[in-house]
Amino acid sequence: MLPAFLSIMEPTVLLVIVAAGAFGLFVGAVPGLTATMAVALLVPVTFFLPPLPAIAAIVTASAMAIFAGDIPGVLLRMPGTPASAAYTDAAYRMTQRGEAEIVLGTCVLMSAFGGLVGALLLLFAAPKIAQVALNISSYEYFWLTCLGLTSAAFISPGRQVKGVISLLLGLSVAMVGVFPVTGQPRFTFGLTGLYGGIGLVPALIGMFAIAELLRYAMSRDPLIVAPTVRIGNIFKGLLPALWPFRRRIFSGVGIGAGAGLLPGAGADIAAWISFALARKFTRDKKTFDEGSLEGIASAAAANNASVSTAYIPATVLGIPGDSMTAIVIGVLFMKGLTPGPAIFTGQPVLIYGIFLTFILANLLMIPMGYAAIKLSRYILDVPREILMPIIMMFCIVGAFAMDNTLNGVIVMLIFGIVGWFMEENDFPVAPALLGLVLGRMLEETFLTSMIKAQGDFTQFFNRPIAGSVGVLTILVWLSPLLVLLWKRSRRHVAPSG
Amino acid sequence: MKVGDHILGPVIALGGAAVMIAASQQPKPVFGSSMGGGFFPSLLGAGLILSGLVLGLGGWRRRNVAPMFRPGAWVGSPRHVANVATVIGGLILYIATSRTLGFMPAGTLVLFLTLWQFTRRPALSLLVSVISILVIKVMFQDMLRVPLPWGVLEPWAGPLTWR
Repeated sequence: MLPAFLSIMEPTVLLVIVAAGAFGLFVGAVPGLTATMAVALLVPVTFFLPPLPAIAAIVTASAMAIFAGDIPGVLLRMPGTPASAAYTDAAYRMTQRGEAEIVLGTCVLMSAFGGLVGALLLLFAAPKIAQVALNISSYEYFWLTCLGLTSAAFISPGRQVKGVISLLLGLSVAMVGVFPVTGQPRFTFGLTGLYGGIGLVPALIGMFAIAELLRYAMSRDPLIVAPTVRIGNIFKGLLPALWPFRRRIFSGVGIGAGAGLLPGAGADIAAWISFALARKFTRDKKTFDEGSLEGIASAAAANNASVSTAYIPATVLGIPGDSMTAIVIGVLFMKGLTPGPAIFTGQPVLIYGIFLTFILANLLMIPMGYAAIKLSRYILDVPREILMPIIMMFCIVGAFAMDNTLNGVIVMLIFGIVGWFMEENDFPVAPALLGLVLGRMLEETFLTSMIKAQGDFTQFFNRPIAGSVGVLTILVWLSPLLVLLWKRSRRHVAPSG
Repeated sequence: MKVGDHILGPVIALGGAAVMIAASQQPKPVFGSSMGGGFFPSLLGAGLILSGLVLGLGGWRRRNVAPMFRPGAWVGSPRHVANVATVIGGLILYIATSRTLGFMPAGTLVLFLTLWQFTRRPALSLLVSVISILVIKVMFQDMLRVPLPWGVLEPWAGPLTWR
């Protein structure tokens, strides 16, 4: 652990962390720019950095952006990122009563606390799980990836079938390029530019930044007005105010940590669930509904806790649960590193360095978040009609920089339009991204297993873990059908009974 | 822009069929009889056909409630249509011209046009676009060494590089 600690203490790494933190705070605080967009824009720059600072930048920016999403939520009733939406109304009600300071203080302190607890879990649980995971074979791996992808498609908001279609489309796009076993081009339409496959980074920038830009270009919402609230000391009287809610805060952290582990349930779901549970168990529902710190503290801790623990399946198994960790997996692949249990023994400095970055980022969140809150008047006042075109230019250069051809820019444009169209029609985008990142690996483990089993599919169920996870996965696949049958049978029973 | 599920579903199913047909044309390797480069994609194609049909069926049941096609509110406002056209057109313009004109001229042109459309202030747009392109050029071309195209500025590439 010491070499890892020393490696993140290097001046360049620290500088990268602080710069990425400031960037994440800014992007998260501007309404309409999401945390995923912050990460998507950061990836082209990290391409030129060594692995540790590259991932550290992504980790820091994502944690800071999730917190910073609270700032416009509290001050303008506009969540900066979807993860803050759960408690925006409650927070804004308190702002209207002149309590903006204590709400902002709660958000920054609880975000840091939730993130820290999640980071500690990550630091101590991940290596233990990795030890167990070292024994898994391609059969288990195949089923675990299937289960992860399926739950990501099923849990995502909206109709399940749309999540599944999004996932299948992502997986299909991942098939484009030369098939390594036969060396034959596949789905390339005769274009040599597609032989290497669809670039992940241009696709990512398209889906998360260009799509957002298009949405901005067509949005007819009135312009935001900068708040006139004067913000003093946000930490005054904060701890005594939060103390009565300590149990709620811990349950928020627990829910967040659990949601992070689950593929598909990211920071926003963590915040919604913990806020709803806090409301259910509160002693004083009237005060809660008028806006109290209870739900806000619980949900603000939950969303940041989930950001940390989402890295457990991502690093231990190489199976990302949400778009943010999918990006990290993609970056690790680009650096020639394969996430999975072996990375803990092969690259201990890197992996512990990443985990320690979480702790550092969440500690830095308190002073940097405080500064961002103090500067919020100016951040929220940034003219978006100027910012958006500049972001477009960064997108172009970022997409180009991956393989230094215009193909990247073309891919970015196409995926931007597709991503916008998907969101417009309630297709979740995250499963498509997961499919794009994991498609090739899933095919590889599947073919390896099939060759090992000499085409005998029952081999996929012969080992105890593989068999149980396989059965579970198939049950999840069949669950919509089972639910349908159950509903039908009840409908038949009801009239007769 | 919303398109009814009873339209999207069959389109997706057709896409799945196309994937299956393309996959069937993949050569099969000598070992492991049927598992060539087409095997896994054909599973995905089958999945797309199935889920497309499920989506289409659900949409068909709700065809009276959900319209076949509903354009977004922005379509009614010429300014917003122009905004969208500028973003997409700007990106296409960059793709078409950056190789011949070079990053700096093409980038400044595209950025200026987009800013002008969004802000309606030509002088400010020009100033912001020139400064931003210079910053991006120094960051990516000079510091990160991304080989952005020089285009017409090729003869002055040396003096224009800051390292």
